[in-house]
Amino acid sequence: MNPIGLASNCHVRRQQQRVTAAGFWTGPLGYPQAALVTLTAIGLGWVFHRTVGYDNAPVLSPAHTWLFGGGITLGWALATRRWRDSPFVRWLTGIPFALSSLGGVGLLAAIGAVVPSATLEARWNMESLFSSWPFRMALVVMMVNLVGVTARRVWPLTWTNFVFTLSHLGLTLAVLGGMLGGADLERANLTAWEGRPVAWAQSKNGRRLDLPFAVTLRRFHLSHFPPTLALAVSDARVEGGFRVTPGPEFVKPGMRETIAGYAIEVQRFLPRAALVSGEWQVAPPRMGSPAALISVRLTATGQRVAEGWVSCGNIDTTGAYLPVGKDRAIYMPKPRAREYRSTVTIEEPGAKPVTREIRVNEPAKVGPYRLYQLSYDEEFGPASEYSVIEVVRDRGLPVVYVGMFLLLGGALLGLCSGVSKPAVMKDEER
Amino acid sequence: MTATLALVGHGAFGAWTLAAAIYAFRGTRAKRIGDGLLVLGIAFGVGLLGALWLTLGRPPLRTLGETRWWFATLAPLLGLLIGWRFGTRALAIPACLLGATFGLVNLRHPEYMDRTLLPALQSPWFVPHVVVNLLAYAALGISCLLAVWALVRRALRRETVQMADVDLPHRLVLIGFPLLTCGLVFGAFWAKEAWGHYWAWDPKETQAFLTWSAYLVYLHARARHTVRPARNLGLLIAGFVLLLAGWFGVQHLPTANESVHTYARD
Repeated sequence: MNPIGLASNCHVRRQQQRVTAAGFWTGPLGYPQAALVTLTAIGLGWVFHRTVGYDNAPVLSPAHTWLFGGGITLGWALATRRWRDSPFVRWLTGIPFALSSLGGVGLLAAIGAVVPSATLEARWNMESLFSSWPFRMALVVMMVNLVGVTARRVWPLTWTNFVFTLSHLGLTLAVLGGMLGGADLERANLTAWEGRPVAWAQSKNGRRLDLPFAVTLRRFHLSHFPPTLALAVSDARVEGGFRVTPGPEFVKPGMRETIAGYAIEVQRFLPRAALVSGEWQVAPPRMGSPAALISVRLTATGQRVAEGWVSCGNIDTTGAYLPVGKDRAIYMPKPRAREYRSTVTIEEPGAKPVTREIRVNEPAKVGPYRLYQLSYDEEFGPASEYSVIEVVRDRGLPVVYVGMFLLLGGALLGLCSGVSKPAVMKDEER
Repeated sequence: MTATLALVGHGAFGAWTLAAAIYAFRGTRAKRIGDGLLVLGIAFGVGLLGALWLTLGRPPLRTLGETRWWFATLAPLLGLLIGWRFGTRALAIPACLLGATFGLVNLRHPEYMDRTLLPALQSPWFVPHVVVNLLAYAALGISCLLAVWALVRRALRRETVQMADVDLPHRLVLIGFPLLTCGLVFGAFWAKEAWGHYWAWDPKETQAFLTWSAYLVYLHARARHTVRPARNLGLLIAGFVLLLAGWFGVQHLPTANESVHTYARD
């Protein structure tokens, strides 16, 4: 081959490469380009994660976050509306882009669902994948599509466009509210002590959050379900070393039940008992633990196997179990909490102190904050001297709720149109 | 009481199995007998759920076993109602098969033992959230079986999958997906009241999001690629597999102990 031929071959190949490279973006845009954009955004997020990190990232004030984020969103919505017929905008707001960006978010979510946070922290120095830069960038790409397509379809207001807009605008607002609200979300645990006002809380990452009010625990109330019985069989293959078969019935005098071939009858039940000189006796108020005298027979033969006391025990009382075989015993698991609630006094500067009751599923509202019953000293149970209350302030919540209601509206209208399709199917088709 | 419940469960299982077999025969009489058995199975299922509710003193929606009974009852019920609405009995066999399969799993592994209801579950959102989700699961489950059947039938006949094959499975997604969305939103409202945040990317929530996204992908893909029915049916099957993984698989994930709302194991 002559040198000129070689040179011209190289030239042609270079030109072909150039044409191919240009064609990738100048030709009809579709899935490959959308996938590339999504992957690039995630990659960029990874670069931010490794370089900028989280503590050094520039933080805007809440007002600026909303102005900046809201402004960009509105600007993009107006731009897509203005240039809605441009092929580029149609691609950015089209289905290939939607599927690619959703795929990116889904892929990262799948990783986050499977890989424990401890592994993420150890391997990639990532506290949570869902607050990481790569995930945020994937969400941004998804929002580019979502905001754009919503703006494109919002007008003319046909029935189809209306249902479409409800669901898409709903999702847009829910995600936007979550992203912008999440940027300055205040979420921390306040440990309320009896008779001691506390005006600060600690976030999950150890940051102190000073509050404009003080909380004092007046009373902590905890009630349990009645105890139950269970059979434990020694089994080295099982985590913890025991295979447990729980009984369904609550323990009470005269209760009879069968657990895995053992017929159990409760002879005596003491809701608060203590072992004194080798005998179970009624304990003073606020002390002791539930205990039951039970007899156990084999259901197959009726043969009596054992009789004795079982107790779950607690911080000041030792528990007891009843062996019914070489490798098995009947025992009383710790009763489960039925309800726990805190009566607290909330003092705000310049306002009269108010008393509120906070229980699971029933938070209290103090200005822009909401207080949730979180936990208590499980070791001491009802005698817990403190109650852990979660304090949350989320500025994005109203936007998220509007979004969720719109999404709900869109879903209900979608359901109506799904059900109201004409009956066209024939039995012969099956 | 457990023996009585098991008897009613066996009744439901038997009725649905028999109904599925009889529906396979042609002829109006067979169809009517099938309808009767289907309704009888539903009556057994509803009776069992009612009895469970009374026995346990709480909504029987806490353990996996309890949700399986709901699914087993709701799938035939939805199959009957949607089939009646669309004027077809094509949903009857898959609906009965789902009812019988999930019923059988429960008869083999009954898990409705515990009467306790954790404080977080004592919420007005508990029943609507779980029931709406299970209704969605039932619609999407029937849709998946129809998709499998369409693919198998065409493969056996060495025919290409037709667009008509996607019609009924797609209609079920149009019913199941909005219900899934409602379940997701109800869950978010509940989570806000119970745990202080509407969405925390808990493993269970993430699985729910992935399932929802899978059906979102199907709906978008179908809107753009109507002419690829085989691929659309494949997406429907993948969606339901993901749904099952989210429903039953979360407690087996390495992240399970990070979840605040996996189903009770006992």
